[in-house]
Amino acid sequence: MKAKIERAMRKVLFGINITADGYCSHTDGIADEELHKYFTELLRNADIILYGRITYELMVPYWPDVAKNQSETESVNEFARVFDSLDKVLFSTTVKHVDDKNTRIVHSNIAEEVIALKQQKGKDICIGSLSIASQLSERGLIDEYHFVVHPVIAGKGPRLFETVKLQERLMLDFIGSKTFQSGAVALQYRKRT
Amino acid sequence: MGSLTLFMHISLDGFAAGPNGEMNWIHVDDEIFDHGGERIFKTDTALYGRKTYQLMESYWPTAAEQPNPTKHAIEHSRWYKVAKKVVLSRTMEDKNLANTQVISGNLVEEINKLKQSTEKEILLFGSPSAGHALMEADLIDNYWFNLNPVLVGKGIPVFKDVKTKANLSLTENKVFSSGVICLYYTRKK
Repeated sequence: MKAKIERAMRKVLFGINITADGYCSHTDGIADEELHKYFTELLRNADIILYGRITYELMVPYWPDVAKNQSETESVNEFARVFDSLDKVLFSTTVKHVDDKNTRIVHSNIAEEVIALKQQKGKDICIGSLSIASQLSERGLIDEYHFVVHPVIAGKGPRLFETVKLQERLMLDFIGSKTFQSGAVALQYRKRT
Repeated sequence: MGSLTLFMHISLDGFAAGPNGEMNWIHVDDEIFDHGGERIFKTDTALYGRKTYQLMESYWPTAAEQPNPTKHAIEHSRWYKVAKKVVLSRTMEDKNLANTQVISGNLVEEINKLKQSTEKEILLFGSPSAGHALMEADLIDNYWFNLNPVLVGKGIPVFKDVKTKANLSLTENKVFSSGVICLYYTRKK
């Protein structure tokens, strides 16, 4: 198992829930068991997850608390446990301290940090924030995109890649999909090389 | 009563075209045309914005008469000529064109009349500006996307001016060999 991990190239992966009209509000998707299981599996293949302040504060301490108290359904608790076990990097120039023992605060350049992380051995690197995914997409540093498209027209919210400034179009290669009972579809793409 | 479907080639980041109308990132091939034809040829009403209509009108009536027409050109040209064409435009005049109606105002009333006039699907082809007006008035019943594996970054969005959240049912979901995905959604009533 160890040899297998070392053989596989460490990927930078961005997984995100979006509505059919391209919004990423946390409250508009269909957060059922299948969805939690999907993201749990995604995180199982990772050992670190990168956040900006806003999304970080939505996730921590909420999920570590669920992991500790096991207060939800089994699939949600399992997601919380896997989430809690990962190292987190919080990119922020204003946050000086957090209580979470697995979190490291980084003030420096995001792209440089990701390039450095990719040189190190390890499992996948997950991106947790839209803003970070936008910046890394601009630099072509995301290897895999997983869009889980929910059957909802939200009409409002943060838009996927709203702030992105691409030098040119980013072409992706489709690698697979999974359709959920809810009508959500997970679409997996790899950066075209 | 018929229903109104927005049919659009769309990028992963939700654009219908680039900032200057660029659409050269849209992938089409025989597989996609044949699949689209299955739905298109079941109906007989096409809806367009003015710009898209003018583009279509300059091409489809004679597309089958060009040298070496493709199967798609022959089939869609034949369909286009007999289909009822409805154009949303504030400026275009209704010049007694065959099979063509111009809607220049009273959008809700006119579209509802159109829906009542048929039992079939009314297809809005592309036409992002017309799409925005129809979304704003909450008149779209189904969404049919060919989702292209590309991040365009900026351009003309497919969705704009949506006023109310809507829950959808995914009724079709097909992966083409090119990596384009067909997603067909129907609004939950």
